[in-house]
Amino acid sequence: MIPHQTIDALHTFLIIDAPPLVAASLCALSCALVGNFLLLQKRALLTDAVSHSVLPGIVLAFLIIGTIHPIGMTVGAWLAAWLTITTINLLKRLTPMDTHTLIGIVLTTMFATGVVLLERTHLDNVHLDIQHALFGNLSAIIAPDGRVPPTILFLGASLLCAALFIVIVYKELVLITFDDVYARTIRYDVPLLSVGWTAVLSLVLVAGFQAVGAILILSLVISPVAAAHLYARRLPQQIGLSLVFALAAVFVGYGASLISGINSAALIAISAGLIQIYAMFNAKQHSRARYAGKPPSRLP
Amino acid sequence: MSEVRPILTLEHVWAGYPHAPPVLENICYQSPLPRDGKGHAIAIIGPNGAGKTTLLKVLAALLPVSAGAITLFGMPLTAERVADKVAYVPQHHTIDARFPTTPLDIVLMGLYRRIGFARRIKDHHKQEAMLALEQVRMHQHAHAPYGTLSGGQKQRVFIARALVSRAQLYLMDEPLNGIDKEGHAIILDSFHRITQQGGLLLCVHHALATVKEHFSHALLLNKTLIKDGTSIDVCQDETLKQAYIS
Repeated sequence: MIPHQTIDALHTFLIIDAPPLVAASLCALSCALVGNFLLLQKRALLTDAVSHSVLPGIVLAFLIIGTIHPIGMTVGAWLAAWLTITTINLLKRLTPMDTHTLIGIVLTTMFATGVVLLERTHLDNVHLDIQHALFGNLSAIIAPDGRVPPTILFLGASLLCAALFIVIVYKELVLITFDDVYARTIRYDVPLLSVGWTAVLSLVLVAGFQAVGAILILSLVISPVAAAHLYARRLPQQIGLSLVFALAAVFVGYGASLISGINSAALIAISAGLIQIYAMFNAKQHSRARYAGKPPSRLP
Repeated sequence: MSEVRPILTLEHVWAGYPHAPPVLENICYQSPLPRDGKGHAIAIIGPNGAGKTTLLKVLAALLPVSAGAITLFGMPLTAERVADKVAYVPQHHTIDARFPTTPLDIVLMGLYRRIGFARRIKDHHKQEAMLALEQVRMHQHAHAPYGTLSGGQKQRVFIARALVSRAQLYLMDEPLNGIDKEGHAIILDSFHRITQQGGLLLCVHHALATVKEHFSHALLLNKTLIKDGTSIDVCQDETLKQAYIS
């Protein structure tokens, strides 16, 4: 017979500890999935732009529906994220400016618009918690009545959308990421692909931003992928490894948070960073040992 | 009997980059007629800034024409026609060398147009890509990481990607630049293969000394077309002096 204390501990784990762990894992997997393409396109900082640009979307959603309803806020944030990425893409095509400059311009403009909207509409008395914006609110994701929390459902749906989209148009995404000029010459840069990718990206980033905050989402998009990039010979390998590293960062960081009581999102971000630092040194030796003494032309 | 037509014609073409003065000015050109079903290898030569790469980009529908008309096989040049009939090989250093991919994956991209959007790659596509790699003697490196290839090997992979697409007009930007002797011979062999199959090759080439050796025809450009014809005619000292000194 299982002792009562064990059942109580398991019950507490399922209600309080497991939901944040599941949420962080789902978020880590979806961020790593899209991060593979963002990093190779040298556009990982789009994540930062999106996390700042959701503010006007949230305020406008509040103005339209008149209440802080999670679905309304989410749709507002998603539309703002979509608009941000689309604007950056459009300006990139129409102007000679580089992507990073455009990200900086759009990010600050959108965020400032959000601040102005807040002030002009007298919504500035609405509680905006900076700590939650930066580090999310993982510990608030609990299942007191045994039901799956909405945040987990949203994160799960965003992961499913991202995975399905990538599986269906994998070769097209790889082509526009590897050689967008060639993609244009064979007419593979179709608007449907661009619109679909922007929608999926916005969904993943908004879902992640709400759950784990701006710092952790940036870390989960970049670090596991950057670490996997150092080992992989082919993109499928890189994607697989990045998913493993992302989950490892979540489990190590969350475990450390349970022991120390420190903010779990921050510890997950630190774990992801440490994995990347380890990979930077380890992969260097790994590649030296593999290619020692062989000129590039004779590699297998 | 069907009439033999030039593959490519340009009539008073003006083109350039957005928000900038035109690079190409009033270009009128007609590609040499195919002979016995065989095409031609044409070198595009001219000083730096003459518009050689710009011309390739215009022909690949990557840059718009601001005035004039281009026809391909007697029909107006459109992005759709380019996708079906043109293969563009840019300079390999424009591609991220650290991208986790292999020569086989890259050559398969040349088949994407035929495979179709959101369709799976099948085994026979891989076999076809391997054959193209064999033609440029890169089949032994088919699964090597792209970043470990030398510049010449990368160039050969991109040429294999163009070959596998079965295009009729090949646009190559300095494919022989910085290539060793062995790579040179292999790339020239692929030029021969293209022309033997009736294809037209337009290739930006810098080494004036080897134009006559490698190309049957040449096109001397300095924003406008200075001269075109057989490479022997174009590469006369006086003509070159006129383009390079002006």
